[in-house]
Amino acid sequence: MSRLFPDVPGATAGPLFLSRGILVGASLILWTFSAITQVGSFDGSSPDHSGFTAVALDLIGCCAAFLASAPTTPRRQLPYVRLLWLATSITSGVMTAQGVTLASGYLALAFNVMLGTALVFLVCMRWDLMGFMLLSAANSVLSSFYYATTPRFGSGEGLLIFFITLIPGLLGALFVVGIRSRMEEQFARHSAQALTALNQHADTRSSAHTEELSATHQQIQELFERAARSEGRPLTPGLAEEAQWLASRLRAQLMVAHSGNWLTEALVLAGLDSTATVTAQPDLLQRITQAQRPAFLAVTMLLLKPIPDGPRQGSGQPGTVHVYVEPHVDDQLLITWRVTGLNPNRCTPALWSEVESLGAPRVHSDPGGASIIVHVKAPRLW
Amino acid sequence: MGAWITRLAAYRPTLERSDLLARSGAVMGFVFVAASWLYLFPIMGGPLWHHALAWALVMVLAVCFATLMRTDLWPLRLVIVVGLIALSELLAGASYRQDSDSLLLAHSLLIGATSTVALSLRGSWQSAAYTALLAVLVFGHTITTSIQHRLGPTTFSILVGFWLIMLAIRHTAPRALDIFLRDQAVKAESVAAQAIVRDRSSAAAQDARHLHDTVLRGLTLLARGGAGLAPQDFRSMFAAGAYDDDGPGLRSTGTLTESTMADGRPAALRGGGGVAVVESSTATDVASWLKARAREHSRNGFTVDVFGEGGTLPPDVLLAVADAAGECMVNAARHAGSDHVDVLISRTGPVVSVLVSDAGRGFDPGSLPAESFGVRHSVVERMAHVGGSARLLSTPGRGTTVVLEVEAA
Repeated sequence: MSRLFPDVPGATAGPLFLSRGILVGASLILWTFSAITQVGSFDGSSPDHSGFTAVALDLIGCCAAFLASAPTTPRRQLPYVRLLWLATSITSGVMTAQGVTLASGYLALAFNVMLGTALVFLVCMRWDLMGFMLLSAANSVLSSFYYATTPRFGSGEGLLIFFITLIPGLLGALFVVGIRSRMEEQFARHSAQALTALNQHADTRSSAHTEELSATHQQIQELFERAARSEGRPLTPGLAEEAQWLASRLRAQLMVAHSGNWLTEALVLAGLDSTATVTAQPDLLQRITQAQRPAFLAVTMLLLKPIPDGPRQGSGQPGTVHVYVEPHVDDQLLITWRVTGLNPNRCTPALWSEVESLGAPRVHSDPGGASIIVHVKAPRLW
Repeated sequence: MGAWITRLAAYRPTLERSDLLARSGAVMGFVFVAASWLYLFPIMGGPLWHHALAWALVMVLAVCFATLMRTDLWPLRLVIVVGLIALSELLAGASYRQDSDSLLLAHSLLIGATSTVALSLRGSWQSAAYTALLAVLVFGHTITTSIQHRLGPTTFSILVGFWLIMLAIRHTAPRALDIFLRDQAVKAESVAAQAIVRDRSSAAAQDARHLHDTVLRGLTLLARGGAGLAPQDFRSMFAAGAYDDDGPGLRSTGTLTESTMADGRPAALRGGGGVAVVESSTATDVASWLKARAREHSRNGFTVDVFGEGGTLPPDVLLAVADAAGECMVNAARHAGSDHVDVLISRTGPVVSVLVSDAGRGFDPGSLPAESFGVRHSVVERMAHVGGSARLLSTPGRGTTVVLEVEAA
């Protein structure tokens, strides 16, 4: 499947920009209407076993769609959950269509396909745009097929049903495509602004160290000039001592320059070092490949930064993030983000998308917060 | 004339621009009307003026939805609601529809399209009151006609569903979008921070390698009183500028300026075994470079033999391989306790491998201290910087082999 925003990391999550709460609410409203018309003989039809079964299958489909949109559902399970939803939707649609007569059952079918259309949005919340459009189109064709099997086929209503089910998908896709350029522009602008600001910050931070190193370097140059002037005559003890001292000093400065690690330095640059604690040996952090580092840092920063008009990511109170990196078997590292006050269910899809790009996550919740654990493949440096 | 136009423009009311949700509502409303119209118009009954009026209403609604794409001024929303009510009655009036009739769905769709005006709801009491007024108008009409014509509550229920969904979207979608944008901003910042740290670390590592491989080695030699160096080697080593193409920390971030001369050709400018050799080379094959390095390091009874051919490599990669292999030779001379090193070059497809082996005392790679510059920065990171890799194979008492691998492409 092609990606919606190929240049934006993790942009495949939540491509419809709709709140999951809205979709769940809308689906439940439609399921209620569907159940009333199926079971409650609302339109004059007589309730039977197939109607009850269709309602039950719709409910299972709702649960499957709910799971498929849940951020904590492992990505590898998503195809199976989507397939489960599709199976329940088709079975329920066929059973509902079987109950349609010339005088009744049409409304039940209409609500059934509308529910299916709403659930397409929910099922595709963690899919990309192409997947969403494909499923929308499949849902429209299936809905028309259900109608085609009823005795009312040929009156033109099938076309209406096809339209009704196709419209939301079409609108959703148009909406996404319509704001795509805005998203890309915004991402590019944010990146440029962040690069400028962080570069200035980095310049300020490194100037002291650079000056110190430059001073040592100047002294070394002077020493080498004096050594060159000696024309190979035996060196004075003072010069050898000075060389020894400068070597120690230079070595110490190089050690200091390499004493930090990329994660801490990035967090310091972003001004987030006060709320994040990194517990990891520099060696282990170095083993994390360059390709994995942006996602690792993005997860840490997403957990640290507050969401608009609300508390920090998924929490009800400000908290801190502890990042632990430990060695694991088979050249793997165990990364743990321990976040106080974190409610994993309120974390945004972008966070899970970044976590899953590192590996399959496990989540442990407790009254104090939650831990997100992921195994990362990180071969030893030598 | 111009003044008149300016004066008229000044009197024009300030139009409130539609936001993203209001514009989406306009598209949605238009599509609902079009779908219902396509289905209902061919089967519509009534006199001819009904048809004409229906056409006119559809045109008016189309214009209103098009205008809604730019502004959601309050009279526009009123016209849309009234127009939709009128159209729904014209196309599928109470005399044509019953709860079990297929017209009901199309009619409900039309009347449900009024809910799109809820997407223009703003966070002020005036806006809330006006939207409530429109809702009262729609629901009042639906309830009244349902009671009057003894219709079931289906249309009313569908209408409630539509309005609830639209109000929920209006309430939560902006926040969902804000959160999405915030996530994108955080990710952009994280990408920028990571890129800056990576580039600066890379530049710092280059500086450190340069200082370690040349300056620090020279200082160590001076600290030992320059023992073991011939006078001419001593002079050339400490001649002004032999060590410095730049001062530390003065290189441009993330570049390979240290490895490229002004004319763009790589230059072998590195110290070896305590001796700096300035050797311009036009050769681009690995074997020639490594043989040159072997000559630099073969002295005082220590010998380096180079075997095999590796073909050519890009200049920066070639320099990195030669420098890393040179560092391995230096380490062998200093720490292995052996007087001989073999360098084997081979090429399998695009992958060039260089094995630097000695039969010295060996060591446990796991015990290598974290602050060890020689292996970590001058070999492993140097190779990683050009997309290659370095593997250290050593056992105490059984010698050491360093495998350097890099792709030619």
